[in-house]
Amino acid sequence: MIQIQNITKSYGDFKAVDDVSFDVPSGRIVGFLGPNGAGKTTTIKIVTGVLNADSGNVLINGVNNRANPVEAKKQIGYIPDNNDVFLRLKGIEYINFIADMYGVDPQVRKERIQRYSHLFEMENNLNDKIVSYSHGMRQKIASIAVLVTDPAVWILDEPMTGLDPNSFAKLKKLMREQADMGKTVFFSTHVLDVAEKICDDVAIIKGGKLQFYGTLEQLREDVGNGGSLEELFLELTEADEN
Amino acid sequence: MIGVSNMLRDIKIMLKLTAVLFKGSSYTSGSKGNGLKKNGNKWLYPVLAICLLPMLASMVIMVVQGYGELSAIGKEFMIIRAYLNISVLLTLFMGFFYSLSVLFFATDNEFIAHLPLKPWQISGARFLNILIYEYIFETFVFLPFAITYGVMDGAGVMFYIYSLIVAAVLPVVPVALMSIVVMFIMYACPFLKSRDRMNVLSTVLMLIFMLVFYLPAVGEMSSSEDESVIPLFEMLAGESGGVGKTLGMIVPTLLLGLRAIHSSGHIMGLVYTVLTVVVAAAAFVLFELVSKLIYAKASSGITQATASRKKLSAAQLENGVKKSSAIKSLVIKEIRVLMRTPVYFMNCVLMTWIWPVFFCIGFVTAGSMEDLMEMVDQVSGYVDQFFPYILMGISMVNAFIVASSSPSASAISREGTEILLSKMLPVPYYTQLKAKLYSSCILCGIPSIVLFIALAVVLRCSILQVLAVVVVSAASFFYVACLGLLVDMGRPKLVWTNEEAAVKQNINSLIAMGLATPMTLVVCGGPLALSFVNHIAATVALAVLSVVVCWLMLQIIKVRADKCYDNIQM
Repeated sequence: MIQIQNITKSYGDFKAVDDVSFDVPSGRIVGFLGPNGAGKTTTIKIVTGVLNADSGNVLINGVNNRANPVEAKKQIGYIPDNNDVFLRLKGIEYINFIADMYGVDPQVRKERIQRYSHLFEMENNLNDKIVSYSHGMRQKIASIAVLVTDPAVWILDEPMTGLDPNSFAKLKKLMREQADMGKTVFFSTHVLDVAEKICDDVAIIKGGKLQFYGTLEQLREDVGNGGSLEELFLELTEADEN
Repeated sequence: MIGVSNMLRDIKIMLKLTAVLFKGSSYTSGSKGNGLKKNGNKWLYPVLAICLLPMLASMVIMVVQGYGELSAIGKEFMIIRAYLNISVLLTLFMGFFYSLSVLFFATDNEFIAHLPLKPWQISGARFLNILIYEYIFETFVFLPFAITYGVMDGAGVMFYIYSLIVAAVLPVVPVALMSIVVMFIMYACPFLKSRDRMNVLSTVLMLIFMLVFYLPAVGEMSSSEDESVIPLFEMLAGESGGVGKTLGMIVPTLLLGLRAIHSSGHIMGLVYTVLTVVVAAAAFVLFELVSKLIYAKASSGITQATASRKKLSAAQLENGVKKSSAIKSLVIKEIRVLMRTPVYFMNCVLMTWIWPVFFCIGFVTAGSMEDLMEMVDQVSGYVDQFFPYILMGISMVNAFIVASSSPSASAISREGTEILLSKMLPVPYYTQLKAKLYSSCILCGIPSIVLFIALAVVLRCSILQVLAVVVVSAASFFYVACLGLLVDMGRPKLVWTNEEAAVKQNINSLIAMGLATPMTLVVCGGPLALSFVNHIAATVALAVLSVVVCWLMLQIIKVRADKCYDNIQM
């Protein structure tokens, strides 16, 4: 479970995240939606401990990520929006490196590497350097590395970018499986169709402020519109502008 | 008339493209954000100027001394001949690498290709970029030689004007030649179209070149009995044929330029100058013609790295999933990144590997085996008498080596935006920093330490003395590496557009270099004072103090680790 409690983050005079609070419960997939520059990535970076909030707290399964960062990070598997990392390592070296960081048992990591590299059709690429990968392949190798660590909390920043439809479908299925196993899945996306299909709850942020948190049904009730998530989203995020 | 106007417009566009490419190149683009660019640039040029002063001063002194000796035998013009030879040789050498980098491996190639430009405008702009880099380089060679010579010779204005024109025109032919050679290589060898592979090959070529020219130079110096610089200038000027004569045949503007400067007081000076310009222009046209034919094909299909696309064998998989501790895994990762990123390898590792090789070459070529053994016998007789000072010398040499190409002084900067993933790792920041230190020391410290131990053994040091050499050389290497890391922790340059900018434009290495020598002097100060009383006490004090300083530096890193990473908010 992720508990986000009154977090605020400013860059100079600009408030990127403004007193945002909500919980991402275990066993549910929560989509984090918002227009460009709404504060999604900043919030995710604060949750993962990469950025410090000016105020507020984030608890990962009850562990404060500022007070006990290493313990909090052990529970998180994070797939960033930019996967251009450790490009000179080979795919297998990168996965093994991440597995070492999380202390995954060698037999378990071997079995998981085989399973997930087969699932994402990356078996023929593990021995190549990441720098030779396409954007989608980098996304896949990051996903495999996270899956090998079997985290309690799965955080994904724009995970669909660059993935082919086949891999995308597999990733969605995995997200559902993780949630069904009682794990926490929290991801940001611009693809509202995807969010509509796989999310149990959605959090909508705009201008650094949380506009809505709840199920799609609650959103329909709140906005008073029986349309698609796209229509609800537009109505909610454009309400101030009209 | 319309044709001329169109041509002028096209040339104008080419010049604009040249300026854009130069501004956006890895040599000129700096960091953004973190407020580092402002502070970095403010200090970069004064610091660079100070660093270059000793080199410029030594060149000026060499020319003054050479002029004094050569003018006595009426051969003072040999200085200009030597300058032009060096200039052309270096332009050919650098031109090869610049051509590769600018024509084929520039990251902006894919963006430029989509612009509505004529192929000759793109190749021309790239050519001019290479030329600008050559001018920057040439300035440091040209200024001290030509100006000092002109002042010493009491030369007239025409000498400076012709010299300037020749200096501006001289790199054109070598650059055109090297660009054409590189184009043919890339055209004929598709397997070289990998940036990483080509970088490695270039490094090997560079090393071979350095050795080829270093060995004869060492031989020449060591065979010279007196301290006269005449043999050196004779060698550089190619008086006895050899390289100088060959260069003149490859680059006709070399001889023409030489005659232009030599005849600067006569009308023939003007004729030779015009001829030099004409030949250079012809070389540029030839470059454009060749590039029109093969550049597009030669530059297509360039990739960063090749991939085998082969499934891991059972043994490879078994080997690939071996478990390691977090620190060991981090150290291995750092070493892999340093070794596999050609820019990092060349700037942060290679120099620390090369200098022991050059030292050994200099040592071995200093004379015959008998001379060498005699020298060893003589020196080993003094080892006991001067042992503390030898250890201090080792500390100073290490300080210089580590600081001049320290991987630790750019260890955090090299991560760039990757640091976000490092911040996500469930491993204490102090452990991550220790891994950076250890990898730096393993990669760069071992060659020096092995050399020092070998020297100690050759000089017949006792076991205890060898032990002291091991402790002091390892410790001095370690605390200077810690110093570099602390500098980088204080002001990491994390926003960069390419790997070259992370190390080459990182002022942290310069700061570390500036601080390393005073720090080592401070460490050696106490033992030095003690050495006047008792050599054994001084030796023990230096060894203990060096280890204590290592421990202290580690404690400072430990205390500052979390704050350093917390300050990185991007």
